[in-house]
Amino acid sequence: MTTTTIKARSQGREATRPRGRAAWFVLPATALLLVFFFYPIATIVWRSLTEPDAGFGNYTALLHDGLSVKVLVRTLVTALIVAATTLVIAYPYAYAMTKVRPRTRAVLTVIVLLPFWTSLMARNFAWYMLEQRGGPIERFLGLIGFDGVVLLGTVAGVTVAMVQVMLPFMVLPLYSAMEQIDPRLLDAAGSLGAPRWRAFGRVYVPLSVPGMLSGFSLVFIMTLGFYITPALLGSPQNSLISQVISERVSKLLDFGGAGALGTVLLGVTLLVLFIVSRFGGPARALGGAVTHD
Amino acid sequence: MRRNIGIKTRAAAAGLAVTMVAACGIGNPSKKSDALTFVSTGSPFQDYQNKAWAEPFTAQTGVKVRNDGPTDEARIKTMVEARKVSWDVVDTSAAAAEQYCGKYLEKLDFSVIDKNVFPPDTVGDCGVPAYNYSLIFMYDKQKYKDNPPTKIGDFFDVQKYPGRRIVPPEIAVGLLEAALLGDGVQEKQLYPLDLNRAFRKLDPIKKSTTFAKTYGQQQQMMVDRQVDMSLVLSARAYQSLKAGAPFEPVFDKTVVNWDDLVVPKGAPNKEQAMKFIAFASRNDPSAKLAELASVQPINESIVPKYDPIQQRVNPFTPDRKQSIVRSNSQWWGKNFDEVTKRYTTWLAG
Repeated sequence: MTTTTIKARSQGREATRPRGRAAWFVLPATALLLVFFFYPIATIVWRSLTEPDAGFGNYTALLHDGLSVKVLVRTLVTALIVAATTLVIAYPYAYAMTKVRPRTRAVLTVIVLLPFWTSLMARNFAWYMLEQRGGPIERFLGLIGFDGVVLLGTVAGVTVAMVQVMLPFMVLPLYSAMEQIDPRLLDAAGSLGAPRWRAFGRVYVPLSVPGMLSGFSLVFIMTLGFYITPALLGSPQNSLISQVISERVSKLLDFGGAGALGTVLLGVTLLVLFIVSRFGGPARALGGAVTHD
Repeated sequence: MRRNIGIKTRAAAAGLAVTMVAACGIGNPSKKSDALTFVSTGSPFQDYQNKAWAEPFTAQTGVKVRNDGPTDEARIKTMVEARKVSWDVVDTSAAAAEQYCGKYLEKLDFSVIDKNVFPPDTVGDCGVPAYNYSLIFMYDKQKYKDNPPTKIGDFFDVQKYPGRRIVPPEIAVGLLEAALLGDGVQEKQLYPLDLNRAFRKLDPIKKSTTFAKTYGQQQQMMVDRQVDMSLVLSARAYQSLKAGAPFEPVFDKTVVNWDDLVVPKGAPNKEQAMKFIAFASRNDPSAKLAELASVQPINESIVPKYDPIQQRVNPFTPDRKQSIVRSNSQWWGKNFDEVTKRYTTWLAG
């Protein structure tokens, strides 16, 4: 009822009142987020400051427990490596997608999305089989002269699998940014005497930076909080932050300490978003990215 | 006259019952007392418990048993704090029963549960033992056929017995005890555990050891021969042998633990829960579970009819019994958090 009235009233005045209308449309989503996202997060932060004692005890304890800082750094480094590797692999792929005929492009898109439609668990178990002792990867590496390299249980093994899982999150934003680059700009550069590679480096790459930024930040942030892949393919010796949080909750029932770790992780994530938004404008940080999560 | 008194008494009883139901109903979503919710570690173990305990219990009392799981102390804590408890009987470690007694767990009603069927120092205020499980040292008999290990200490000796090892996902089931016993600590001096000494003993094997994330993983890695030596719980040892793992047990020192049955604080069907626990500790249900799940009954006078593979991993036979070292759940209840923190830090270091 109300919505119809509003619609009716705002008809014909769309240009003058876009904000008012938008506010109504975001209301359901905002309400949902408030109840199911911000309230729980506020609870977690509150508990991290009050359990077992009021104050910053949980946070200072993180600095001194000999584990959290080490694992946090390891997680950040892993996320950086995953995001960088994904970028290197995805860039030529996305570029190729803009160059081919529509039919081939559809095939390339499906290839990126196919793993996306497969269950994450199934993919992780597949990696488990590939990476385990005596598995295809070890045998292949043995053939080319690297004997006894077992990826399962190592950070490298987790990284490889996470790169594969994250690939669509890099390819799609890159593609959507590259698609908007006018190819005639390269021709113009050429007509002014730039060789192809320089035109690409000086004109094309800078224009694709927004896509790189959104893909990179998306992959980086998602990797920070990734649980299933490190839990399945990693090992306690190489645990990442999500595993440590999970253990705090499930084994120590230390909701305060786990909350502190989670809050730090959230802080790091927001910081990354902030830095990225400095470079590419706030909308660019996550803009142009796919809606999947 | 008599009839009148009868009516009055009945009326009073009915009134009392209504009051009680009403009282129970406050903050309690489920008022039905003809059912209870049982929580354990999930399939297949929980299926065995259902066959051995729940089905005959329902047949005898008419009380239905719903299943939920897996056991998760964090969830018990959350439910108790939110006063929305939906679990009635939970299978958990004896250490957890000790550690959370009175805080998140109800005191048991020993007018319903018979204390005397359990060994004396296994009964706590909040938990009674449900079954024993043993940490068995096993080795790949093909890998070590020329020089099979014979002592628990051999598990920690990478010089003499090189090879890949695997240990259980939980620290409280006997890894530290095995390390200390392997280092020559006498059984009587085992507790309080000398943590420094235990971790020193573990250091050399850390590199070649898989610290299993689940019991299923440990079992599978033995079957796939991804490891050469294993400290493994009897039920999982049985499953891997059954699946063809070429492993052989060593009965030098076998750490024996047990799980407790507990009732979360504010459980909706507390009375039925006590009856269920009492029922599960009887001889027939205990023996049945032991046979199905390949665990050992708490009451050692019960002799389950094990199949040949189960017999191979049963440390409670007369000739292997001397290897048994019992875990100290009181010590673990007090020190679980500290040990877990130290273990995690040691692992990630």
